[in-house]
Amino acid sequence: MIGSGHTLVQVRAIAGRSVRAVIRQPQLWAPSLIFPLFFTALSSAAFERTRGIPGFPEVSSFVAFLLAATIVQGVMFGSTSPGTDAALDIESGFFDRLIASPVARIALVAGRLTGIMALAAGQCLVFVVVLLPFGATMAAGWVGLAVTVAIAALFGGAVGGFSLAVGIRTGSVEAVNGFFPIFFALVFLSSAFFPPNISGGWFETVAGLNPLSYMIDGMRTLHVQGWDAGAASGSLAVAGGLLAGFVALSLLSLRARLRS
Amino acid sequence: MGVWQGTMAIAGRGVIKTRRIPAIMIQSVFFPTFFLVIYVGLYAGVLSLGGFGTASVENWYVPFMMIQGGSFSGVAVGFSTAVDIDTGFFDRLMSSPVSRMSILAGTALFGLFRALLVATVVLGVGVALGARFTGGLVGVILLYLAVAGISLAASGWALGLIYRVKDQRVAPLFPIGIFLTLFMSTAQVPLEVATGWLRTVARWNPVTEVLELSRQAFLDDGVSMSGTVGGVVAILVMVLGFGVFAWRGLVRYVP
Repeated sequence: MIGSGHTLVQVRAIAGRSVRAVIRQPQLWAPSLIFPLFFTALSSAAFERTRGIPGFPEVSSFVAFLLAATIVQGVMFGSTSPGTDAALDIESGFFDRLIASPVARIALVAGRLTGIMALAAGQCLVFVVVLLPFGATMAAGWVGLAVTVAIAALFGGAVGGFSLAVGIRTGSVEAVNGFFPIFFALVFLSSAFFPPNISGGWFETVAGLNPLSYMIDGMRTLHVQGWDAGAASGSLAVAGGLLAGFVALSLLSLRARLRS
Repeated sequence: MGVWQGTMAIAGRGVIKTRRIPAIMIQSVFFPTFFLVIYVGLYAGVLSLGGFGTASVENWYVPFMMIQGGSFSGVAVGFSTAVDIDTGFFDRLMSSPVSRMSILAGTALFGLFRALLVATVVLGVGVALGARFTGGLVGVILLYLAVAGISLAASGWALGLIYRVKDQRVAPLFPIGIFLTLFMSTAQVPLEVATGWLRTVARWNPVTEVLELSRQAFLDDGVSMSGTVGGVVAILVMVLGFGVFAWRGLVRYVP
């Protein structure tokens, strides 16, 4: 039962359960699509003229500048469900039944995160398709799109991994939601919404230290300039690194819960 | 029990609850303060476009964040009423000899208390960040008038909805309505800088007038009649409109 083949089947089953649980509840996924798109429409109308400020990157529209931010923001909003689901499962006792069953421990984490990564990839595609007619660009073409989707999936997994770590550790939906502002703050304190070189001051310093800025800048390069292997690999490395770190944190949380 | 006594009792209940569980206030204070700090850093360079009426990014965004804090404190009474309906407390309140007007006014008054508290914290943070008054005492009074007006209107919106629907599931609509109205105004940039649909919507959005009223405390031109009248009229219309909306919902409420 613990063979790697069976583990993959279990991961797929748990991932499928996570995806179905989200898709069946539009109140879970609709806001993570609607709000980022609304913000993009709002910000592009409000800050379109800032493209004329010296130092602003060469972009054809503010929407093109914001595409990466929209994807990251949307994925962030939509990827906390592994943590809330785990907390709900713990509250309802379903998690205990899972633990008592012959399911591989790694499948409990990997399954939920695979599911949320698939959803993040889908979300990313929706944002690109919706925003392309409104001025967004994908200068690196299909390859750029594939890398963008991969980054979105990895980042979704990272946010999901963080929420899962909190959810398993605390068993509380409120605690998962309470930790959400950390990611929210990280995205706002990055180069997502405005070029930090124009903001200047402390913001430029903080955004420069924020790893999400490197991920977002890499995505933006693919969207507005064209293919750049360095930008693509840098972005993938940041998203992948975050995913690896938070998966490890989730496994530690799981181990702590199993011991308790 | 008279209307005044009933109003103060209802408002006092909310104040006591807040004092006993200060964590209730954390979210109300956190978001406008957080956004103030972020906006001041993030959009500092935007003011080089001109048309803002000030060279200080803090002066531009502090009134908006106070209004934002005030409005979300206003809708928060909708959440607490939803909980009261859920637990059955509200039905008992409606069956008691407390007048309907006291229930509505007391709840809105509690929202106003929270709004003024949150706005004052945001103002303190803004001043610490570098915001400076230019409109004197009158400007500050008008700033708080704007916060109070938005808070009362927001309470009316949230209470009107919850009295009608009587279900917590309507709660997400409280902040969404406020959020859309606030942001589709001159909250982020002045009309001269806004483009496209936002410029058109913001021109007709009454919140734009309220923001103009509040910003007189911080913009270079200071207080003027033209900057005051539109805002005061907008506040009166919104408070009256959403007040009637809430009142009609309450009088039709059947426990």
